[in-house]
Amino acid sequence: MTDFINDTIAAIITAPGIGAMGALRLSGPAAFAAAARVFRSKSGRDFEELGDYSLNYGGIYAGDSFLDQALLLKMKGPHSFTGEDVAELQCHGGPVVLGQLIETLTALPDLEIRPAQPGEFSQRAFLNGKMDLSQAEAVMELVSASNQKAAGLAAEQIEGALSCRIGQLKSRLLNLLASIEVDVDFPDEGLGDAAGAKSWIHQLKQILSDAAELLSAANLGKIYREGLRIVFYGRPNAGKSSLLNAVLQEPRAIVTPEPGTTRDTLEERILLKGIPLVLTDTAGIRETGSQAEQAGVDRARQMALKADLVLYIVDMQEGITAEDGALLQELDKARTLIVFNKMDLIEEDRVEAIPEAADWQCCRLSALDSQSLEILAKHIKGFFEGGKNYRQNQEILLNRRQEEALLKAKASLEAALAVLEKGWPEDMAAIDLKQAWSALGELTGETVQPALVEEIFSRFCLGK
Amino acid sequence: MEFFASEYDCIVVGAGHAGCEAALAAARLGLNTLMLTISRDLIALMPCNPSIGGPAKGTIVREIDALGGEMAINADATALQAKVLNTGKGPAVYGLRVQSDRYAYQRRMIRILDSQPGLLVRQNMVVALLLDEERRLLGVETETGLRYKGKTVILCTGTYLNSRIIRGLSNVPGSPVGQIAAWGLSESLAGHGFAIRRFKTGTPPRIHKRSIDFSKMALQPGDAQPQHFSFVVTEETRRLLPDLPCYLTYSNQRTHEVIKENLDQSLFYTGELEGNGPRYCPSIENKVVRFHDKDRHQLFVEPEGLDSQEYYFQGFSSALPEDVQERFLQTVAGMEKAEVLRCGYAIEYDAIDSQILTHSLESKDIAGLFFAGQINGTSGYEEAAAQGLMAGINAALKIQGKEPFVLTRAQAYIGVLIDDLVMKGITEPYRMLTSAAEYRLLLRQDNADLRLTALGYELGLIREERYQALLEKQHLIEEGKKLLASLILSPKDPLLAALMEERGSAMPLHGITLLELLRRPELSYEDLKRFSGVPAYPPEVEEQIEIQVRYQGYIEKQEAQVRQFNQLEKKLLPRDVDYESLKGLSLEAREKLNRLQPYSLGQASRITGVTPADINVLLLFLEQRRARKEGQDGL
Ligand SMILES: Cc1cc2nc3c(=O)[nH]c(=O)nc-3n(C[C@H](O)[C@H](O)[C@H](O)COP(=O)(O)OP(=O)(O)OC[C@H]3O[C@@H](n4cnc5c(N)ncnc54)[C@H](O)[C@@H]3O)c2cc1C
Ligand SMILES: Nc1nc2c(ncn2[C@@H]2O[C@H](COP(=O)(O)OP(=O)(O)O)[C@@H](O)[C@H]2O)c(=O)[nH]1
Ligand SMILES: [Mg+2]
Repeated sequence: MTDFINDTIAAIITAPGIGAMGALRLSGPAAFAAAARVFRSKSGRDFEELGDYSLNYGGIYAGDSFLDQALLLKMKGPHSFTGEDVAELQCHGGPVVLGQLIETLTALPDLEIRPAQPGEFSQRAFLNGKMDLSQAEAVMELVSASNQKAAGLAAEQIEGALSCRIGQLKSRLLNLLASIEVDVDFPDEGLGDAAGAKSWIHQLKQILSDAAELLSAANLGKIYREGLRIVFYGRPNAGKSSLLNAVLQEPRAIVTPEPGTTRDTLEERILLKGIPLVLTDTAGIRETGSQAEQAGVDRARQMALKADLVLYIVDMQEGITAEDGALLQELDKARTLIVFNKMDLIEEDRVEAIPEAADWQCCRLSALDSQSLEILAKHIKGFFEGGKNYRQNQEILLNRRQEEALLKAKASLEAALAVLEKGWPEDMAAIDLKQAWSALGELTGETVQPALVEEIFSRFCLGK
Repeated sequence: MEFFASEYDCIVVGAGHAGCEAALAAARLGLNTLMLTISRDLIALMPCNPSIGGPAKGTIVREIDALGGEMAINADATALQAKVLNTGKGPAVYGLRVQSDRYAYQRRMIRILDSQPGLLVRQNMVVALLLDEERRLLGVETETGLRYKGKTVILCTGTYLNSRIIRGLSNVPGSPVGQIAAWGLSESLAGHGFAIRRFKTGTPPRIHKRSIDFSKMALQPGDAQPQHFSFVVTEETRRLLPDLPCYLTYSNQRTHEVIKENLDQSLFYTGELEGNGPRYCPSIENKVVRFHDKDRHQLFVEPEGLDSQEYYFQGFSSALPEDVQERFLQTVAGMEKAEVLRCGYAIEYDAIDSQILTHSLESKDIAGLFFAGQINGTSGYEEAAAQGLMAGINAALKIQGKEPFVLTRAQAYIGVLIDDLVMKGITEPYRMLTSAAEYRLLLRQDNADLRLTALGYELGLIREERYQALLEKQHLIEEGKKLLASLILSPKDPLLAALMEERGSAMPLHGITLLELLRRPELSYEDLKRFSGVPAYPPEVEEQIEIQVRYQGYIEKQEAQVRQFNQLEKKLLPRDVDYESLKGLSLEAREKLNRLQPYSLGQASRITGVTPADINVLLLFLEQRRARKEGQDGL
């Protein structure tokens, strides 16, 4: 019998460029033998004498010619990153020296060292049980997570919070499936559910509502990953750009007393009280002769319709005009906060008299005042946590692939429901239910997906 | 060299359902075949239910037929009633079940065996398997000391190896219907290094017809238009025996009380015995204990034969003492005066671990040695017959030096059955269930001929004319579907309006093809014949068109699943590698993969204990190797 992995790979693991240091990694059964050919320790000790886990100073050579001074990191398998013998050489040299070194190593006639494929070190770690697939996937999520909460969710996922919730869904689905299968396989035993299709429909509706809940929890998770989209909206000169600058605490958008200054949308990301926000400043909404401005206006309108939250800014010097009323008509009350701006220009005794827009959420502030940030932050947080789908610590984080799997499961469940409701043969429903089952398995890794494994590792880059 | 009585291409041990198919297939494929069995009187015996088929099992019978086996015809020719179960639940799970006259069933099978050229069926018990010093197969030795040389040997010993009959607190050597148990062979197998395991099963009492009050039971007639298992209906199978009905009755609270009071009189409940029994075919005492909230269980009363006064009591299998059985039996409606002719019992027997087999049912260790039927841990006539057929075919291919004949899980229930046996492995008697087949909508009983006849023909088990008939059938199905797709009805068509009205179907708003119309569950092919241009085809062709059109959407879903399944099936694992060196695999996976050396990733994924995470490791490994190879080729 032969071993699965019996060759040794080498690659430069530092980013290409003229960095101060470059490093090269060797992994595999011949890693030490190869490193011994190119590295000579300053202490004069033989390679074998160097500690199994040691950092050593010396020089690297191509044959007898000296290339550079170098550090050698020696790590014996299985307690190394890849689980195999690993030797890492770090030197000052840029791409030229390292390139020469790789050439020397792969040209060693008796050792057969070959250049590593992208991601191959991680793959070896995976093959040697140093990392599992969900960890590999979660590691990638962690790397790209933009804020602490998202990172926390990704970490939680590694611990299995997601599988637990999917598991609950799956076990109910399994009960339902079993009931159908028993009815099909044991017609003589009278073991099936006496209520038959009626009871199955009932169970299925329950499962569907669970799946829907999971999806909305996932939406929440998505906000943590991608940010809550907030759009600054309103008529020109209301103070949208000023308010954005106040929230950003830096003059990012150009502010002038000239209406129509902001022509296109402007996007910024910040973390406010732990909530990641994507802030979009828009052109003011008005009929305009300028084509460029009109394009900006159209975009603004679209942004507002897609937003998680619209901040509708009103210039209180003018009050809510008919034009404001028309614009507000297009918006969803539940996702809109009316900001009465420029309160500093309103005289004390008039403040009380401002009409509150009936059953809209409102706040009053002055964009130029330092307190405006605090007031707005409080409202945004309140909006986020008061949301229909928000439940503390109930959010889950799904990546695109996982979200697709969940949607696929839901579609199959719906198809099964339709079959049963139409009185079609239960075996067809069973096919849909099994498909839903397997889609849920994709979420938890219980359904093997050849494409996924390949993809995850192809997304690692060389040297990882 | 020791003395051998004579030499055969193939020796089949045991004349149960597995043995019969194995011997017939081997002989029909030209092997000089010897069959040895304990008693010639018990050939093709049905020691339990006098019925063949049901969901999944019925499909297997049709697959056997399409591959040229005998079971379907034998059941058809001796049928007392035929009934399709599960109608309305979907065509994949329809199950034809036939009550056969069990005596006629045996007589006919004996006749077929004895008239098969190249086959000799001899009464003798095999007590040893003979190997040479290098563990190569030599042959078998009988109770009488005869030694037969066999190039191949197929062991089909069913429930007979060291079998013991258990009734109440008595536990004695014996076999079904009062015969002796087979001794010696188990020990011989163990001596050659085969692990032996102990399984059990049971059977209910048989009751004298004159003592049953059928008026207190529900009549269960067969279908008015009985179907056949075999795709070929001959004069012989057309319908010879008169219809005999079955009856339905129920156990009740009193029955359950008597059983519960007497559980201490069962060796299985005193804790003395534990043999793994079939979970799907439990004894009545098991049912009462396990489903304690059920206040009654369905029981069927079935005739054993036309000339027989014995009635089989399905659902009432028991290993309680004879007097207790009689007492709780008489609490059942219609059974108050029941006279017991044979008492129920449990039987324990030796089986091998099916994971030592290849997909052709050959020992991985000893070339030419095959195993089929209950000895592999399955339960049921149909499961046994299917394995017998496959073992017989593969023994012949082996001798002819050809590639083994293996069916995949996407091709046949037989493929599912054998793959489960050799890859998943089993810990209790295995019964074929539709739920074991991932793609059951494709593996229907109605299309077994379309799936497999061509394969049977290639093997040489299906005759030319039958193959030609199949081609004709395929042609008509395609022609019919094309035709329906080309015929468009206008919503103004009065014939259409009348049909919609009759069937309570919604009137189409636009022109509609007949094919689309047939998708509606409330309409049948028969209904379409009123429109001009729709031909009358043979009923089996019309049935196929109807099913293929109506379930097209779901059939396509399953076909997509099969394509996905094939992805893993096509990823072949390297031969003879040490999985121990792949530390990313779980310990259990490493051990099992090394032992079973699966052929493909798909097979590996079905081994119990090999997890998806393990498969991911293997996947990546294969992917890496492929990438590297391509890289090298590119250089
Ligand atoms: C009591 C009982 C209850 C059952 N209940 C059910 C049930 O409820 N449901 C179900 O699906 N199935 C049931 N079965 C199982 C069913 O009978 C078997 O699965 C099926 O018959 C197995 O077929 P086979 O060919 O493997 O073996 P068998 O039909 O058992 O045939 C074995 C043959 O081998 C011969 N033989 C054995 N050893 C030797 C030897 N050493 N030398 C020569 N000949 C030998 C025997 O004489 C016999 O002819 C039951 C069986 C029994 C005995
Ligand atoms: N006094 C006062 N002036 C403000 C306030 N907010 C905005 N402005 C002024 O109003 C003008 C228009 O502001 P800008 O942010 O460009 O409005 P936009 O067109 O909605 O983006 C600028 O001159 C700002 O300085 C405020 O709260 N108080
Ligand atoms: Mg602006």
